Amino acid sequence: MTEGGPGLSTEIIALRISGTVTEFRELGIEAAMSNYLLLLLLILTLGMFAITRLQETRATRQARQIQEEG
Amino acid sequence: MKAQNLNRMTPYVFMAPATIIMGLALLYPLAYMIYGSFRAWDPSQNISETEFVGLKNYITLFFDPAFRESLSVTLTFAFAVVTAELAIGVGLALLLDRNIRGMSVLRTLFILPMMIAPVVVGLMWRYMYHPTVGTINKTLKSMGFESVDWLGQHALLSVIIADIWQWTPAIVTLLLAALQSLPRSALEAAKIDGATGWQQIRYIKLPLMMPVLIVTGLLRLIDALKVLELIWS
Repeated sequence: MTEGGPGLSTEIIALRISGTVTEFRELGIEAAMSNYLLLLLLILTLGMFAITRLQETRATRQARQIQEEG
Repeated sequence: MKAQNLNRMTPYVFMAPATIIMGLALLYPLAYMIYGSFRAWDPSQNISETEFVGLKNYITLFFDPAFRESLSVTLTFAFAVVTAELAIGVGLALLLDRNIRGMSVLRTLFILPMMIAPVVVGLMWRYMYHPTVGTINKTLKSMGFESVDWLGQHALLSVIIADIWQWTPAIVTLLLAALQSLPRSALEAAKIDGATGWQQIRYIKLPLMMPVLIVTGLLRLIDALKVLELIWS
């Protein structure tokens, strides 16, 4: 929609990666940039798994408590 | 004896196609990229000719103000989009969770934006945001308002609005499914105890929907962090 501009105001990382490959011809830096993004996404995904597991254990513990009381 | 061995092999044989495709299409490029990120690499060079530079690329990027700026733009975009989409999505899902006539028609209409390719959405909104001949500014003018410089001064906001337009329906669909599978007994008990509509939402529906909400939000967040076509087109 804006192709990153005006200035850097909508320059998201994915756009920066694809744009600077042709501009600066530094594939190493581009790869490092993608790795930063990958790392960010990995942290979020692992966080998601952790939250799901936490909820499951809490649910099973609650169920057991209810059984013991009943 | 041989048959037993074959039996033991069966699961691995079934897994093999998927594993091979994963390895070729995902793991190999990933390893290649990680390997390449430690090298000073010009596109005209073969990777074996490149020079090993260690963590230099990462350090250069870390102290590069332009990279930091685009990182912060990405994060702003992702969090703004997910917050707005979740808020609107929850509201719409709660409104749609009842027996209305023509519900299936409504639902189909709601999913329409999701079916459009992001590139097309980007182009469409670009023309709609056009400062003089775009639909939005024309409408604003005809109603007597000042025209707004959408893609200039408020570029990020405009992009965020377009993304919300496209992906809120996905959230509504997911949340509506979650709402309709809530245990009816809890809701009925609340009704018998005289809970008002707002109390039912606040104390019954939202807490029961929370796991779905969190997972939907995180999925959208991951998706929003790697958006490209919408802005690029």
